[in-house]
Amino acid sequence: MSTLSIRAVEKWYGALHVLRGVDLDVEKSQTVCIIGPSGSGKSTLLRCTNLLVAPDGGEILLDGVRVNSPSIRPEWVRQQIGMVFQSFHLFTHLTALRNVTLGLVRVKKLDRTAAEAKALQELERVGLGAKLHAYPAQLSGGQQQRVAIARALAMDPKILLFDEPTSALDPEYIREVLDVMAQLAKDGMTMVVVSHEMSFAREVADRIVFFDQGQVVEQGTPEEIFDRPGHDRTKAFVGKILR
Amino acid sequence: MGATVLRSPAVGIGAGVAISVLLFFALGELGFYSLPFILQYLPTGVGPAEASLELTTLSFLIGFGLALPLGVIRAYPPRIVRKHPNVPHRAADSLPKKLLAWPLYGFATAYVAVIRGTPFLVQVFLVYYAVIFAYPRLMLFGLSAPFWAGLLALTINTTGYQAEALRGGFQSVEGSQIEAARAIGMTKFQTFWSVTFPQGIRLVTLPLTNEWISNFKTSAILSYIAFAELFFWSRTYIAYQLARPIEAFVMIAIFYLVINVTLSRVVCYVEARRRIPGLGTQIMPGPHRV
Amino acid sequence: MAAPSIHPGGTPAPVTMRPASRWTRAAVLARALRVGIGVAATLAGYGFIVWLGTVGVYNLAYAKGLVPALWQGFVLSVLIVAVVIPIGFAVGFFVGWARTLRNPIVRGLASVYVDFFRSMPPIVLIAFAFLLGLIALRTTIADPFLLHWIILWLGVLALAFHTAAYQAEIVRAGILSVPSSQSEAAQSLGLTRGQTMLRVVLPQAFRVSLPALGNEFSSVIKDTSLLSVIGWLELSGLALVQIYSGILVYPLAPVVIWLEVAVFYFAITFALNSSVRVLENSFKVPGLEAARL
Repeated sequence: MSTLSIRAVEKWYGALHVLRGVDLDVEKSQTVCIIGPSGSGKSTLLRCTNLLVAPDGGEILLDGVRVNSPSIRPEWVRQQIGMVFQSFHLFTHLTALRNVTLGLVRVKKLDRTAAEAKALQELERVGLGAKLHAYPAQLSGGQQQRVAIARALAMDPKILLFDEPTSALDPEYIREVLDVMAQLAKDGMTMVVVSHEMSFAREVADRIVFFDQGQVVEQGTPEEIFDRPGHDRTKAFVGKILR
Repeated sequence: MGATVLRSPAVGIGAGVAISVLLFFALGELGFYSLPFILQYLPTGVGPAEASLELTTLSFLIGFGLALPLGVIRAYPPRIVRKHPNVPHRAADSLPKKLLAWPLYGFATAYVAVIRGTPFLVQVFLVYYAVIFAYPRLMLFGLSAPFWAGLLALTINTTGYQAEALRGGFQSVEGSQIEAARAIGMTKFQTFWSVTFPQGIRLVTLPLTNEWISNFKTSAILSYIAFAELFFWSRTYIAYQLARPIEAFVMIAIFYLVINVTLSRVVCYVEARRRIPGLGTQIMPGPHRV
Repeated sequence: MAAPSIHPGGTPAPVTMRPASRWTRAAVLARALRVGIGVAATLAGYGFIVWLGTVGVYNLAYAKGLVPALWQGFVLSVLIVAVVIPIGFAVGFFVGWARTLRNPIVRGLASVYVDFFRSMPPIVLIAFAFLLGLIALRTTIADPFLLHWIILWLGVLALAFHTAAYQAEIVRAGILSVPSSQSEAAQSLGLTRGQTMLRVVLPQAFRVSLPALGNEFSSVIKDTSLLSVIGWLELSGLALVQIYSGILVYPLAPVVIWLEVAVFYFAITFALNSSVRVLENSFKVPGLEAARL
């Protein structure tokens, strides 16, 4: 049974058909990389997955359980599915440490000492044990994104979604974030990554999904997609980004 | 080097204070008003000043309690008039929620519009006449109609203005912050209390301070329903009874300038010192209100 | 006719570009809805008031009789506003601009002006402008009518100087909100400092300040009610007069009168706010908005 299964998911924004029956499976401990032109609905797909956006049709299955149903609280679902945003979305008014503990205290109802111990552990895991009391604005983009990853990890999610985690970063900070992500993949985290970092996709991803116009066009191993793309649109896109 | 020192705010404030004090004594020596008289009678204004400050602060605090729910209601309008959606895409509201949301939003909007759309002078007379019509010989805790009518009118008024300030603060909290809170599984209620409220309150510290100062200045109008506050003291006691109108003006100016300028400077300084890096917004100065 | 040329001396191709419409259908619909709700609420309120009169909560005929009397005061109020706003804006603009200059003396004087007029309640300024004006001028001006006329207008002037201090702060914030990169860009194109101010900084500052200025103007409208305490027979002054005669006939008269006056004020401020919003919308440029706090 897949950790995450997306079945025929549809989403409309007004007259705009953003997701046109998307199917995707992610196995446990797999890293799936989604690539595709901007505006193709990749972000919306991630937001539908953790129900930040309600899908208009189809099913989201988490360990075989349908979660986009009225009987399941979306808050519970989002606890199980961590998300890392393109522009970090750290809480501006909280220090790095409290950014991580907020969810542990409010959502997981841990007491403060336990939450801080857990947060410390996660922040050290991303290499930020020394920056506990800095506010987001006092951190570099790379550090902010690593705090955001620690915040998501602290909730012990079944799966972690990354929405273009490096595209808002200055070039010198991209490496440190990708390294953290690669380590997570090695540790057996289940991840869905929307990204155009080709080196990362090639080295870390178990599977590449090419997404265009609200649909999965083609998927396969990195070699299949990058070296022998089967579909014309994939060919055109891969040609553009690899040049 | 010298120029940067000259441009520092402390020097500016120091110079301002020095010039004001100098001007005050110089004009007195030149015979525009009597310095000894002012220094002798200034202490008689402390009681009225306390009355002004107490009424202002009391109404401000009650008003804050009332404005908070109003501000929240105004910040999150029901679907069709939602102008600044913090969260871009929301599931549709359930029917009972809709039925409740519309009247609440309508009431809050109408309240704010009416309070901000009419002069305080009109509001205070309306309240005062209504109070003395209903209770001609009102006396509660040893305080009579002018106090109660004044408190009521001031509270009603500041509630409307504070509600609007709070609405602005809550709406200025970026949508990404709310999205992040929702993404770690927080409910709407938790998101509000852990993220929107603390950030929004910080954003409106200065507007709320301005609102307190406005409230303080507005309380001068209560002089005309015979509430014994600063303006009443200066107008009836110093200007008419003691027949010293020029001194009366200088004395009331001293009270208002010292209290208001000091407060706004101190709050600005403290706010700047304690500001969380990265959490701030460009704020347009608010209008004065009456 | 040759093809349009971009070379110097050639005729540039006429480029007609309509700015992207600010009146999208959704915006028009939302606006229409808001106006509709406003009108419906007004009618409902009016109906409620009339109904209260007919069931005897107050004297409907008396309330109706007040309208023409109050209308004269309303007209005078609008007239006073039309005097106060231009003076206030003219003074406020220069004071606010002075607050952004480098010269410490000019800046200091402007700051003292702003601090003083912002700290004083307008009613205190008006009452003392009247009183001190009377004391200062009573020996020099013999004609009592002229004297009275002058000191009444001194009260109006006090109001103008008060709002000027607030407008100065708005103008200053507007000017400071324009990033220095804009001036740098303008000056690197060879614009003089005056041109930079006039063509680049002020147009941006104006757009950013417009909502705040609109709010300030509606404050001025409400402020004019304070002139009644020195004897202006504008809207509130006439209300005070009506109360003296009304209260003998009918004990609830003050409440009815002040309610009616409130409706008049609300009508002017509402009209002003709506027109400022329309103005704002027609000057709107994406990326140039102030936080509305």
